[in-house]
Amino acid sequence: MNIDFEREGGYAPLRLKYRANTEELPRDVAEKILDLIDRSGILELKQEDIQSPAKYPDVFSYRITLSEDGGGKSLTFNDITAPDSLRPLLTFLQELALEKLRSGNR
Amino acid sequence: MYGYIPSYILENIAKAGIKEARLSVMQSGTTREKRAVKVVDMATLSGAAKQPSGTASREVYDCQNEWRQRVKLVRGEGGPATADKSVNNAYDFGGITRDYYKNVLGRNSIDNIGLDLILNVHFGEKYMNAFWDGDEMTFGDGDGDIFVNFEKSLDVVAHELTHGVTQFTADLVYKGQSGALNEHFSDVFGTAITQHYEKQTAEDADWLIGDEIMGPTLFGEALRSMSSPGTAYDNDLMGKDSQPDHMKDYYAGPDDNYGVHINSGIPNRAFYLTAMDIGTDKAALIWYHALQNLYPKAQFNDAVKVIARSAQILIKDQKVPKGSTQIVRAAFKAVGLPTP
Repeated sequence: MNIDFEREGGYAPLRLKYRANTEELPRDVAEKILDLIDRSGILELKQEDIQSPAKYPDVFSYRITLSEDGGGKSLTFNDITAPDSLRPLLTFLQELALEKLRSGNR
Repeated sequence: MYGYIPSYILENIAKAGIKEARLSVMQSGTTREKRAVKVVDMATLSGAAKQPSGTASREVYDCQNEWRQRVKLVRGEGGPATADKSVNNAYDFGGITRDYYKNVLGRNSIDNIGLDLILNVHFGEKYMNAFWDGDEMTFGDGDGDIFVNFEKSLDVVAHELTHGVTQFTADLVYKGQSGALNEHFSDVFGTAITQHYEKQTAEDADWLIGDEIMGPTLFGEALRSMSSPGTAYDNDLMGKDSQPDHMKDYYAGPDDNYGVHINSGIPNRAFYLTAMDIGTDKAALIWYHALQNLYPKAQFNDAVKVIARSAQILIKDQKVPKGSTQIVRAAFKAVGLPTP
């Protein structure tokens, strides 16, 4: 599965991006991502189920795009509209993005 | 009223400076958005929930690292300090900001009629952010490495609270130039309130935003510099500060809601130059007067006109020195404003 994650906005200008194909990741990382995707129910969520992300000052805005075998799902939301079920997945993707930054890979 | 009159008509009237229209445009937009997002609980619906006091009381909530606001009220107005520094910092800095608006600018809390200050600390897990969401302020703990607790800094608390003040005055749309002005005013009052509290002059202030929340990894860096936009940080983690200090380097791309935190550097430097001439407190008076006369879609050129006009009015009222109008114009000219 292809993962394309982006976080922007916020009080501090630390933009995060994370792109990966789970087949190319270390096994434990891939399994964790897939497990979190499954538990979050993100593949069943529709954009119209999420409140339109209004532009509040300094909130983080997120975009997650998942694609596999020609099909995919892309959702945008912010800290106010993010469904609770997505939080563990968001937290892990942000950790992975930060790891990449720390290793000098912007 | 705001449901009957088309919003574009209200906005044109607001632009002309009619206060009631401005309030209507603001209230209908913001309240409608916030209400659409927040779930109203049964206590509020039934009237059992606490009603707004109108006394600008502080309420500090501990989110207990959940992704929810108002989880547990831990300190109310007049309540004793707790063992939690985050709670006490949010309480103290919320009070300092509220008192500056009241004692220096004559404003009764965020909405000028005593809105209670709701401050949420320990939001989420390692949440590296702080925000205003139309009702309340929320602060994360940072990760302890890149950023520390966001309520640790008075300029962060004052910045977020000022977003509320902007919401109830100009209600600048958070996108493009109006959004950059929104960010700019929050940086202005974040800085002015910090300098006032720490008894600093414009000359001895550092004019940095966010330097106090940098963690050990980014010690010595800051998030923005009002005196020298573009110099606040340069490191492998964040990259290089991209704020321009002049319109010739204006960012026109789509990132960051079309540059709200980027292009704010341009008017930020104009405020710095004005403050270095007439003092930060006098400059803040002019900017506060202007904030009450701006409108949701105001652009940089509009702000220059309104701020200069505010200087004229305050000179007439003997609140700022003669010559302030020309100083303001020169400060904006130095950053390339107004544009032709």
